[in-house]
Amino acid sequence: MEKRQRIFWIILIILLVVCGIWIVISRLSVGEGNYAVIKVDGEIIRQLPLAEDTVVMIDGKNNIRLKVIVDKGSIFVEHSDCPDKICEQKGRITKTNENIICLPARTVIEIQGTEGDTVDVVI
Amino acid sequence: MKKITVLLIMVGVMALLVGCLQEENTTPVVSATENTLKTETLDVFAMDTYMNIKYFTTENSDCSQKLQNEITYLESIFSVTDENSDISKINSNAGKFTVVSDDTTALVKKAVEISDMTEGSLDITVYPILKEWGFTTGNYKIPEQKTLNDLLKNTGYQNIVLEDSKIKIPENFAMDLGAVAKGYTGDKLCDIFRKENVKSALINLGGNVQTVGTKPDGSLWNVALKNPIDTEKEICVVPLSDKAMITSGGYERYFVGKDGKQYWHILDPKTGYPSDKGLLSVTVIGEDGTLCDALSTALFVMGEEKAKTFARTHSMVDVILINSNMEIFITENLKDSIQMLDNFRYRIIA
Repeated sequence: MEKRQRIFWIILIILLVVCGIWIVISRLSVGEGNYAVIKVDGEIIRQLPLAEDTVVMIDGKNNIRLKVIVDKGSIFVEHSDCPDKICEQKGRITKTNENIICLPARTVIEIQGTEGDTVDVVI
Repeated sequence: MKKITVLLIMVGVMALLVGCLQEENTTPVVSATENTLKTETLDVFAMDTYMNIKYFTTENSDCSQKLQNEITYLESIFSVTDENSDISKINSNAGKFTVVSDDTTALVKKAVEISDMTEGSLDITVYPILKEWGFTTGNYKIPEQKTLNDLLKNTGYQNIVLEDSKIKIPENFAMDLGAVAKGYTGDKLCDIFRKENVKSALINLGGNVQTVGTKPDGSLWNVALKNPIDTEKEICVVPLSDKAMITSGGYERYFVGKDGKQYWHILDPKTGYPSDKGLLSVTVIGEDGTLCDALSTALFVMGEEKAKTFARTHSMVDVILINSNMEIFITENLKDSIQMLDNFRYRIIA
């Protein structure tokens, strides 16, 4: 009898652990949903998860190249060949619905996702 | 007894598992009810800015083409660089009357009224000075005082003559509608949404936000305001419905001169210099987008004290002023809805 009970307990614990891991994984996958969408002239050319640090070169319109960096959950334009540099001045963005715009390159970098989705637009 | 305990725990685990499964199953049910509404977005580069429009509509109605056409049309008549626009014709025809479209007449008339209301703090004839500073091209320079004095003689909105559908400015004058065109365009886009029975839309014309109705779930649109000295952060969030929220600030477009000083694009029509009267940003909230757009510029030019007086005496708009000490002043109407972030505090303009 005792042996059977022990098996019961073991199965129970395994079930609980499995269920626990399942819940944690399902929560995490929702939480890490934030990503940056990069559009040139309205067309999506890249989608970058903000959880993965990376550096990408973007070929914008009018032969303007942008060096875009994803770093610690934020994204920013480190360098752009554009004349006004407004995109560089903008700095880092981190929140859903925030964006960086390079007008001369007709390039838009916008954060989309589910995390922190309480603000619809930043002005 | 022990068996019962085990059984109870087993039932508990089963319930938990079923709960997890149900959680997944319920998701499509919720989205199915939302699916009757389609999310549409429209990205447009026009009027020297990036326009992003998001709206919710039923499957059958798609007004993106109408919105796009309206923007293209309004840009074609208001643009100061397109030589075929109404504004370019008025400028190149200075000294004589030019026949213009209804929209141009309406907007110029309204701009002049707001100039009167703000004692000239808004002036759509400062274009020659804006050009001299290089804000229209990006080739920035600090003009000579003499040049500015000469150019100032050729400005003054009082000299605009409106007659039915004709407009005249004196010779050597030039106008541009940069301070009001985006607000007017936003109002026109809102009209299209109302006509098309779209009950939920968010229009962002390069920082000019206009909202139609609420979000599909009935909650208000949350518009966050940037910190003018640290634009990566925000000061506050304002929940809105059927209103425009428009900000003017020196941080939006500026250059650093050889003297190390910052020169921004909002010029004081009386001096020809960037307006520097203690304000970092001015936000105007109200139902009339054109008015909010014009007033955000005009109140920035007025400076802190005059802007506060204006806000006290004009209740058709709400105002958020941020001065150079980072003090935040709001009109009383906003105090129940505004959400301050990061320990920022406001004072009421009383």
